[in-house]
Order: sequence, then C-alpha cells, then structure tokens
Amino acid sequence: MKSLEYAIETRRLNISYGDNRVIKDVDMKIPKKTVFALMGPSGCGKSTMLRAFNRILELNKDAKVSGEIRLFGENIYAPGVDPTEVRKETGMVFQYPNPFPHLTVFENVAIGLKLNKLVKSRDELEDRIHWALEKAALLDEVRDRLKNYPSELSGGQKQRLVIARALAMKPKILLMDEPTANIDPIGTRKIEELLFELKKDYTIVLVTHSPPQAARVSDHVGFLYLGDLIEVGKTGKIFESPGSELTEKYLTGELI
Amino acid sequence: MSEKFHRKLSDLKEEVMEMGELASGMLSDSITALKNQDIELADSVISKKNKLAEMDEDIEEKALTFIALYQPMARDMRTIGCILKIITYLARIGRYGKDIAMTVKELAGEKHIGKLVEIPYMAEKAEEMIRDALRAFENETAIDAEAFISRDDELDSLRYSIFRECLTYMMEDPQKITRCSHYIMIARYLERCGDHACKMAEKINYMVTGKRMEIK
Amino acid sequence: MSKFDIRKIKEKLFLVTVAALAILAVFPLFHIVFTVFYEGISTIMATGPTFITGTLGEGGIGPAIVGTLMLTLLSSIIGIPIALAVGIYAYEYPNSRIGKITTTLLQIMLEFPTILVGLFVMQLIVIPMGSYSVIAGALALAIIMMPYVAVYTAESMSQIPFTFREAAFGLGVNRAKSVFMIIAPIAKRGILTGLLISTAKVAGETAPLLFTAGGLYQSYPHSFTQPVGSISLLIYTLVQSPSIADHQMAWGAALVLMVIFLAVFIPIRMSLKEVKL
Repeated sequence: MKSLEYAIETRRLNISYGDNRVIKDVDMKIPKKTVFALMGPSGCGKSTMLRAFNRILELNKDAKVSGEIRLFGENIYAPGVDPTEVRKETGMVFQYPNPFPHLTVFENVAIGLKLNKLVKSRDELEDRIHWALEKAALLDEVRDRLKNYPSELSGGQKQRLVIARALAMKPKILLMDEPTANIDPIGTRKIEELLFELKKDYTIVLVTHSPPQAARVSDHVGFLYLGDLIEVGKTGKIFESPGSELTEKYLTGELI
Repeated sequence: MSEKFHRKLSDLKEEVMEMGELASGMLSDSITALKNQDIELADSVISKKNKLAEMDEDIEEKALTFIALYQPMARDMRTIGCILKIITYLARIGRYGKDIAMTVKELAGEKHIGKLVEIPYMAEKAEEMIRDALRAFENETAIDAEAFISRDDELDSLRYSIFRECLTYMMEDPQKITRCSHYIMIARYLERCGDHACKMAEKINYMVTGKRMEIK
Repeated sequence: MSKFDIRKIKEKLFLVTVAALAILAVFPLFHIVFTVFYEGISTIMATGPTFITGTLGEGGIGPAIVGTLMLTLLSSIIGIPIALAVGIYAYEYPNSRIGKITTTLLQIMLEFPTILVGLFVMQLIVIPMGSYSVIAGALALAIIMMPYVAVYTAESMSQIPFTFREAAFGLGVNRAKSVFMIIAPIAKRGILTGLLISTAKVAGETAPLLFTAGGLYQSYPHSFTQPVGSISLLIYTLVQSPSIADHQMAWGAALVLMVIFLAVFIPIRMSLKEVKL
C-alpha cells in the first residue's frame, strides 16, 4: 500500500535499443501532485524514459523495456495491461508543438474524447472542451477562434492547445518532453506559470535540458547521465548542494 | 559561456584573497603598532579602512551581477554565497584592526602595563585562523574543524585570563583603569576576530563540500 | 571591365539559358493542346451535339464516352480500396518482411508495361468468359492504377512527422483509428493527388484495353459482361483507318478526352486545401 503515495514508481527499470542500454537499473519515485523534472545532457535517456511512462515507447519497435513502472501502484508493464488504457490516464506534451493540423482548435481538444467515445452528448463535449481550454489558460485567447486552424496560433498557444488536448482526457499524470524547447520566452513563461496551477490537480513529469527551468518550476529533480539515475532530490537541495560530484559538474557547466 | 563565467569567478576569488590580505594585514599591523607604540603605523592602518570598505562594496556588487547574469548553480552558487558572507567577516576583522590602531594612539603616552605577551600571542592565533580559512578558500579544500575549535577555545581562555589580570591591576591601582579597559577591549576584539575566522571557515567548508559544518 | 560586371553578365546569361530551355520543354505541351483544340473543334462544330451523344453510325462518340466513364469508375471502385489498404500497410509496417516485399513490388508494378497487364487479364477473364467485357477492362485498369495509389498513399503518409503519430497514440487512440482518423487525414492532399493522377492515367490508357474491353461504338453499353469501348481505344481504331474522315473524328474524340481530363483534374487539384503543419 505504501506505493500509493507515489504517482510513478520505477523498479529496476532498464530500457535498451538493441544492444544499446539507454536506461540502466533506475529506481525512482515521483510523489503525487508535484512537478518532477528529469534533467540531463542530450542523449542521457530522459525522453526515452518519459515515453516508457505511457508506453508510447512501443511505437519504436527496437525499444525493449524490462523492470517495473508503477502508476499509482499498478505495474503498467504487467502482462495483460492494455497500453491504450495507460495512455488515456497519462497526457503527453511534446517538444515540438503538435496540434493536429487538419483539425480546428475545437476539434483538436475533442479528438481524444471522440475517438475513445468518452463523452455522451454534444453538450458534454462542449463543456469539457471549454473546461480543458480554460485549464490550459488558453480559452480567453481562442474563444472566438475555436473554428480556426491551429496554424494561426503562436508557438506558445499551440503548445497550450496540446496541453488542453491532453487535459480533456482527464489524465492523472502529465508527461512533458521539453515543452518549451521551441517556444519564445513569453510563451515559455506562460507555460511555466501554468505548471504551478496544474500541479494542484496533476502529477507532472517534465523532461528538460535546461537546469534553470528545472530550478524554476520543479519540486523534485532527477539527474540522468548516460542512462544512470545519478541523483534524485528536492529541487532546492540539488541546485544548491547536490550530493554527487557529477551533478555538481553538470550544473556548473563542466560536463558536456 | 560557462568558461567565461568560471574565469571571471576565479578573478573575483583573487579579489577576495586581496581583501583578506588587506584585512589580516590591518590586524597584524595594528598589533605591531601596539607593541612598538608606533603611531605612524597605527595611522597607516586607520587610513586603510576606506580601501577596505571599497573592496567590500565592489566585490558584493560583482557577485550580485554574476547571479543576475549567469544564474550560477550548485558549487558556483555556493562560491558566490560564500564570497558574499566572508567579505562581511573580513570587513569586520579589518575594522577591528582599525579599532585597535585607534587605541594604540590612546595608549602611546605611557609604557605598557606588564610585558604585553598575551595580546600579541592572541593576535598570532587569530591571524593563523584567518590565514587557514583563506587558504582553504583559495585552494578549495575542506576545513579541519578540530584545528579551528581548539584555537577558538584557546582564544577564549586567553581573553579571560587577560581580563582577570587587568582586573587585578585595576583593583590595585584605579589609575590604571583607563589603560586596562583598553587592553580588555583589544582582547575582546581579537577573540571576535577568531569567531569571525570560524564563521568564515564554516562558509568555506560549505562552499567546498556542500555539507553544513558547525565550529563550536 | 570590372569583376563585378563579368559576374552580372554571367548571371544574366545563365538566366536566359534556363528560360530558353524551359520554353523548349513546355513548347510541345502547348503545341499538343493547341493542335488538339484546333483540329478537334472543327470536327465537333461540323457534327454538332450529335458528336457527343450519337453513336459512331450517327457520327458521334457517345458510347465511347460512356465506356470511358464506366471503365474508370469501375476500375476505381475495384482498385482504390485495395490500393489504399496496401499503401497504408506499406506505411504501417515498412520494416516487416511483407512490407518490404510490398514496397519493392509496387515500385516494379509502377513501371510494368501496361500491355502485359492486358494480356494477363485476357488470360484470366476474357478467354474463360469467351468475350471482351467491362469487367475485364476495368480489372486491367485497376491493376495499373493500384500501384500509383498505393505508392502515393504510403509516401504521403510517411512524410507526416512522427510526432503526430506519438500525439495520437498518447491520447490512448488505438492504432487503426490513429492511422485512419488522424494520420491519413493529415496526409489527405498527397493521397488524393495520387488518386487523381492514377484516375487520369487510366482514363487515358489504351494498351491494356485492347485485349480486354474490345470496343463498342455502334450502340451504348448495357451490361458489365459485354464488350465496351473507350475514347482512347476509339482514337486508336480511328487513326488506323485510311479514311480522312475517321482521322478528323479522332481529333474530335481527342478534344473530348482532353476536356474531360482537364475538367476533372484542375478543379479538384485546386480545391484541395493544403494542410499546414
């Protein structure tokens, strides 16, 4: 029962592409309703690990996962678990803002609900979409443009639309893969502010290669280096006095 | 970016070392002036207080600029935090030197009471602690807490023994009260310098190791 | 003369050469369009509306127009669904053994001589049935059309960035729905272009129809199991005749074929809204 304190828990998690081990024996716990930042230099395996949390990694046929990942105590890699069910519980936001280009703003938020037949009536759908857009702090900016296509939105708005699309599914966990990497500073600030609001209701796992961003928005930080989880801890502690020499080097820019 | 930052940070550390030399130099010169009743030297110590204040301000400003420009983290952040703290201690130490130099002028009229052994000895101990702390800062090595604790204890007991001694003189001869109060004050200053050296050592140790340590 | 001027002259020279070559390349196309229009319009004017509606005996090409439409429609009905499925399969499983074989096979079929397809269908259907037929013609055309549709479909879907696929799966949408409801619609323009090109191509095909459709110009087709004509097949037959009148008729038929082609192709092509990524 103790594991229920955590939204995500990994046990001896190993991920490899062919012979190349990209995640090595990672044991990690992510507390509920916090922002957890996974940071590390590029190629350290952080995006791979994030994609294992909603089993989207399976889109890559070469990827092999072993060990356990527990979401709210349930091992999502246990035999018989339907990956699509796991994905409904975990919203995902990507490095490249990717609202579906052929759908309007409204339809983009609605698509997950529609294709999974999760709403019963048009009214319910509309309510849910307004709610999700509101939650993603986008409603005021697109209220008159629900029937327009996302190509008209700014990068930051597109990204918040993607967040709304994820929230509409009422997930418990939000996985974010460098969500501001392609966003201008103002858009970045809005998304970061949004995280403070969202963590009241959701557990957020944020992959970032920017330590200052991890410092600004997260409650806990995990530092991954070449597939090893070097250190996990409270954000303030890690950024002031990390326990590992390697983390220290990374944060002071001495590690490539 | 980070290379440039680290180069600038080590330049700043150099400046802190200079300030450390200035402050501990003021302290040791003031004691020399006291021993030799050298008013000229005392004046030169007093005249250095402006330079000390300038360095204090200058280093603080640079450190704050670094935070604004580079958002340092981990050891870099601890180094800057440490610098901000130790320049305050160094400024205090230098000012005690100035205070002692002022007293030198008061005491210059007459011979010292007694042989004036313990005060220079105390100063030597305090300077040793300051020097050790600054050396650890410069080389980024951990602090030997025991060495600091034992010397700090020694300073405390020396101060007390000077106090007892002066008390005896004062009771014997009320004429000596003024001079003796000065000696007591000097002993008190030197003991405070030792305390500051201990606090510096704590901060420097945190900078180097990331672990808190208390010297008590 | 300064260096700068030499550079400018070189640049001009290059531009003129490229423009001249471009005109040279496009010239035959305009020539064809112009000749067909010029020769064809006089024939049609001479005959009047009967040219479109009448049978060959009445001086018209009505049965051939209907035949072309029937063949194109039926071949699309047979070919497109299968081809789309093949294209999506090739996109979905590019690295599976069957996927790799399919892709290679499609590439070969694109370049396959169409007359051989006609021969094959003749062996398969015409000989057992004992007669040329709409079905046989449409099947031959469907076989020719499928690789185009399949290759265009697979190509345009594989050009959709992977991130959209991740996004679809990330919403808990299953594989089939992701492909059909999200990836395929994003690739809509490319897929439809493939459909159009292949439809236009088979509408003008002649060789595969020689041994399959047969030809029917004196009356309108009324059954799928009977022989049928097409405009291109009719042109082929008419041009082989020694009569000058037949040649004139062929020009008229060519104009009709061209108009049908342009009337279908241009509006659809233009109405396709580009999906901005």
